[in-house]
Amino acid sequence: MADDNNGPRIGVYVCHCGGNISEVVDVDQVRDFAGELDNVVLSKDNTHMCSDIGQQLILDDIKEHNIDKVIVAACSPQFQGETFMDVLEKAGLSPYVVRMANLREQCAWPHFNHPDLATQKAKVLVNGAVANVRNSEALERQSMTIGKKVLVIGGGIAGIQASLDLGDAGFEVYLVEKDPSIGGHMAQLSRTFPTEDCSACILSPKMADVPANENINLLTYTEIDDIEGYIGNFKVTATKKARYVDMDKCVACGDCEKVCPISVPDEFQEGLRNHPAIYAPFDFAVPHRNLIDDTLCVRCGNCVDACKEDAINLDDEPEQIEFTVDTIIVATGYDVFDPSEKKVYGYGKYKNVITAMEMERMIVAGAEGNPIRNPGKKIAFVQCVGSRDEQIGREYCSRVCCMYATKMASLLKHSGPHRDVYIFYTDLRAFGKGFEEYYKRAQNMGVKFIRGRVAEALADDPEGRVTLKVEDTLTRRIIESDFDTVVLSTGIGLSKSTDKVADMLRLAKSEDGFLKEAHPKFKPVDTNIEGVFLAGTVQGPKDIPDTVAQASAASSRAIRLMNRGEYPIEPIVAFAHEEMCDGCELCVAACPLNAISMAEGKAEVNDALCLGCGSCLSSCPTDALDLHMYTNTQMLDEVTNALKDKKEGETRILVFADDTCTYRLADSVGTAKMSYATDSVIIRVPSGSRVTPKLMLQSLALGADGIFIGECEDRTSPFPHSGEAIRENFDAVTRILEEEGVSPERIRFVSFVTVMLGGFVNNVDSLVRLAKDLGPIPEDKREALVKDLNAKLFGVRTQA
Amino acid sequence: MKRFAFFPGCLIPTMHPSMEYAIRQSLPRLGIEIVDLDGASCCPDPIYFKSKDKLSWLAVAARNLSLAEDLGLDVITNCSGCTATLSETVHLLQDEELRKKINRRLARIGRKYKGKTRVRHIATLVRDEAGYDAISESVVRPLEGLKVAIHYGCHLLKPSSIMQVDNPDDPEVLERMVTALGATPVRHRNWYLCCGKACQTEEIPANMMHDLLRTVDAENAEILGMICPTCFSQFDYGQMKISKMFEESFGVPPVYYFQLLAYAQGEPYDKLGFDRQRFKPECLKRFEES
Amino acid sequence: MPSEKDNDDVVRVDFAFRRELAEKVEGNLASFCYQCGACVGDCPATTYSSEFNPREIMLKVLYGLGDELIGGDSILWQCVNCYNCHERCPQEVKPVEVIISLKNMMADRGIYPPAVKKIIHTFETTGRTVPLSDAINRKREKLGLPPLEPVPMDEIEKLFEPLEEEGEE
Repeated sequence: MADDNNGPRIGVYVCHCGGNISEVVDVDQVRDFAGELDNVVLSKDNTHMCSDIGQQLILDDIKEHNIDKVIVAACSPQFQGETFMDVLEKAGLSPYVVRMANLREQCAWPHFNHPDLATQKAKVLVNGAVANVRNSEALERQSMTIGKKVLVIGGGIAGIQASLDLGDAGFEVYLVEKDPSIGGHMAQLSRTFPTEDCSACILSPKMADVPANENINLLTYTEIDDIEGYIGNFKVTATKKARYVDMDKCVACGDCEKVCPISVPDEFQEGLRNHPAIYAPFDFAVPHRNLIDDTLCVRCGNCVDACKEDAINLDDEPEQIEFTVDTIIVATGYDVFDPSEKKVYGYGKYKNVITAMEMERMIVAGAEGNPIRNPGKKIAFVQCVGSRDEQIGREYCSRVCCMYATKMASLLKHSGPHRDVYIFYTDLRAFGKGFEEYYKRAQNMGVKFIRGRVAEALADDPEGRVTLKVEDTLTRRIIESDFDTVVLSTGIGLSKSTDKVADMLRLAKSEDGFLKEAHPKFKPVDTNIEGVFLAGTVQGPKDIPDTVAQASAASSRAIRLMNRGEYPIEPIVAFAHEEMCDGCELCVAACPLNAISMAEGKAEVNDALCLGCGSCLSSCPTDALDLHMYTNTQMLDEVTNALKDKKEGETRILVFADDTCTYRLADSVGTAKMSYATDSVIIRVPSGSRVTPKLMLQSLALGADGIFIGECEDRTSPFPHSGEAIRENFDAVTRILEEEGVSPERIRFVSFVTVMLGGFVNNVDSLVRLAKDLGPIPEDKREALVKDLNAKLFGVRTQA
Repeated sequence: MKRFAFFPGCLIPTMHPSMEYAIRQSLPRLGIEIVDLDGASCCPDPIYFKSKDKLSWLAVAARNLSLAEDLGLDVITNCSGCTATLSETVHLLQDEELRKKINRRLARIGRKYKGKTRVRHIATLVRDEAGYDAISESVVRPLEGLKVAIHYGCHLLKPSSIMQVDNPDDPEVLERMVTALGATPVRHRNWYLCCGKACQTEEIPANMMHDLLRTVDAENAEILGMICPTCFSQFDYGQMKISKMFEESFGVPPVYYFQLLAYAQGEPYDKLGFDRQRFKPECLKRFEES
Repeated sequence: MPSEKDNDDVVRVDFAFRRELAEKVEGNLASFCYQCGACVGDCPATTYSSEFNPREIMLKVLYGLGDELIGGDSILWQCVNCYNCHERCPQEVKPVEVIISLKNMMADRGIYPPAVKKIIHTFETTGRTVPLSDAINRKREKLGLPPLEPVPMDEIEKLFEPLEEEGEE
């Protein structure tokens, strides 16, 4: 045991994981091996390192043996990383000087069939971790000050709820809505399922609370133009569109509407009724004021003359406003699927094929005693239009259609018991509170539920009855029947207006096209951008109660950040070694987030903007740029040690696994006990773009037979453009490999999503196979790879 | 003149040479030049041989496509079956592994499929390369007042993700092509039914064609226009069988579109082989006098 | 949908059958079927023959009820190959292609309807579905069409043999 003087004093703790590790890996061997490594002062094993006893063991050793750096050789840091960081902090050490060697997910589980090789690999991992931690910096958890202002984008029920929660809690809210009134889709609905509350009746008091709340700045008819900055300092530019009506003077008497010569389909009424160019959005709109739709107005001036309040100003101009906020809640909601895309159902071609939202408006109008049209006696609801359909790229279930169809069928049956109402469904999903009971009640009322997806809608007369063809899959009977009205239960997708906001904030999307939460279980309303939260259907289809719950969750998560006046920030950011920087500015252009600027001729990283991907490091010809936690020294040390004991005839590839996808994917592979080649060592990096061309070439020179970089797919990656950065690095390395006569097949880059378990295994195995076929890179070529490396990578520039 | 590799298939050159004649006469008038494809075999058919061994079916189809690749030309077909086989082959062989597999078979005869050629039925070709107006302009004998029921058949349109010709639930290409001849297209209620050729029972195709012919008859269509020789034989020879079976006579002559086109362009009735049909479109003769 | 042959309630999935089917080109697509029945409503074969039901065929594939699908009087030959089911399927199961894969399995066992067997034989021996004859070329000559040449069968035949790694040699 090397117990020398001035260097770091590292403690290694090998965990049995209650047998999960020790039944495969020879823990004693690993413990003794670790004990012999440089700077390792003590090496111990324990059945459960994560338990109180295990944690106490570390605490005691830090105290008694002056341990100042720690390796826990146990499970994945994805599971227990935080635990051990907290232990170190408790002991008064930096939480960033502990590393975990992942013996469970990367050795014991995937290689359970080869205990000897698993033990061998465990030693390699511990050796790499020790090398990495040896030069780890004693970073401190940091914090920044933060104010109490929030931007809520979108004035549907999600945005309303979030704004009210925040306003009530004393935070200053800017609620921005692009339409002239708040209320969103909920304002259009007839009733809510399963309670059949009148939607407008329960929503309108909440809407009225918004302008009444002194902490909420309500900005309707306002578009966001740009958002710059970061948590604690988002600069928002928005445009208040011209209303041409003075909000203070207008009393919404409606006199102007009567004299307007224009009549166009009313969007709120789903085009079933018309409104003039000067109009109030709907009768319980907030703010309840008239406005002129600029695109429709012919400037005849009739309304100006008719207005007794002198409220109309045809020269009104849009107004640009700017403000800063500390956090943002995105609640931009959904768009209903456009069923004309599914031509088989004849929407737009047959008058009596309508959407569910049109039926909602028809039911409201009927209930108000002012019917739009009679739906007739025989009515069909066609489910899953725009949901669960790969033909149109919507694999997901929209979650609300089964119940809204059940609701409308019940209402139609209730108002006309003589009606025949059918619901043709694929699977009936009644999962929420009170839903199953509601479904049963509808069945008892006589609504006919038929399990079968409608194949086609046909009509001889475009104005006439519509024939549906469908198999009742439970009886195997083919139904070909005529209906007075066919209602397409259209699914929901991300609203178009969200795209612009998502781009401005660099928010990631999930596979279904909705915005992606930071973690599906534990951070369901957070996003990949610190300080930005999601509320409502922008994150995925959901009903009103779930939307409201999520909106409250989002506001509470925002409050959590803002309430203390300061918030912690990750110290894993890039930084420049000032003395090494020659001011070439290549890194400024390399950063996709514009986080690097020049200050007095030296590169300077804005910690608040930097996400810590490390892609800028590749651009630096002088190695001045570096990344905390994953410094050049640490990475090179880890690679060196991971390859150190490789014997002649052995093959070893390095798998640089990005923290977000590939590392977790490898964990999942291990958890599934899927085996892959033991000749692979996984090295954790924040992003594949951290692996510089230099590091790749150094790795090959040090004896790696292949290099594999795994990274999240672009659209799911927390780091925008990392894929592009990696490809550029690969081009550079490929060029050098070709020049030196080394097969570029030895380096491989794969984009992963965390479910591609088989893809991970196949890629690792095939690269190992290939490396074995190619044999080791000859000594001379390895040396040549790293000779004059800077000149090779950066050309003549560095000599200047 | 735009040049295309002509893939005539099996049925038209052997059983219906007058259809081929009509094609060879009418296409150059629309600015399309036909280049013969030497050494081609059956596509092979998408019903029988595909059902025996889909991999070999792909291999033979890929060989046919590679012949056109040698000429550097896109392939044009005149039969929906050939269109289906060759288009599906192009589609499936976009998959790299499958293409490698097929190319290893092709390597035995020194050929390689590169995936460089497109396949188009001449009906869509005429629409896309010449246009409906060009058809109208080439007509010297407008078929005014002729009521043409349209039979699309299946494989021109479906699977739409592969064929990408028209909306399979509400197509318009053939209607517009018939209109371009001055005739009046008739969409009958059972237009979407299939000719039933692939089905190996008597009852299904018989009942299906019976229903189809009934609705065509009900619309008072004079002829039944189509673009596939397999459908054609079902409605010519098959119609006779149906008439006997149901003891009902319909007498709707099937006509292959390009024969109708050639006729409208001025080819004489006798040269187009109409007289060899079991149901002869004699109604056409009235346009010859004018 | 219990098998008619099993009197007990338990469906015994024939995995060997499913594996064999999955080996065929696009043979494993039925796995994605969620039995919605969209393929049935517009199926002309179903309209004219109540025993033919593409959804049920996919279900039998899922259950591995091979005996009920492939055999001398297989229901599969009622399929008209119209691709309506392919157009309707929200899961992109391609029922026609699954049926064709099943027919491939029948062919491996030497089972074909006589008419089908005859056409395949003609193709395999002449390279065409209609054999060439002097009469045909005479007819063509009259119309001024170029004569048809025999198909180079030496080449075509070489394409029929499976590759070694396809596992059939």
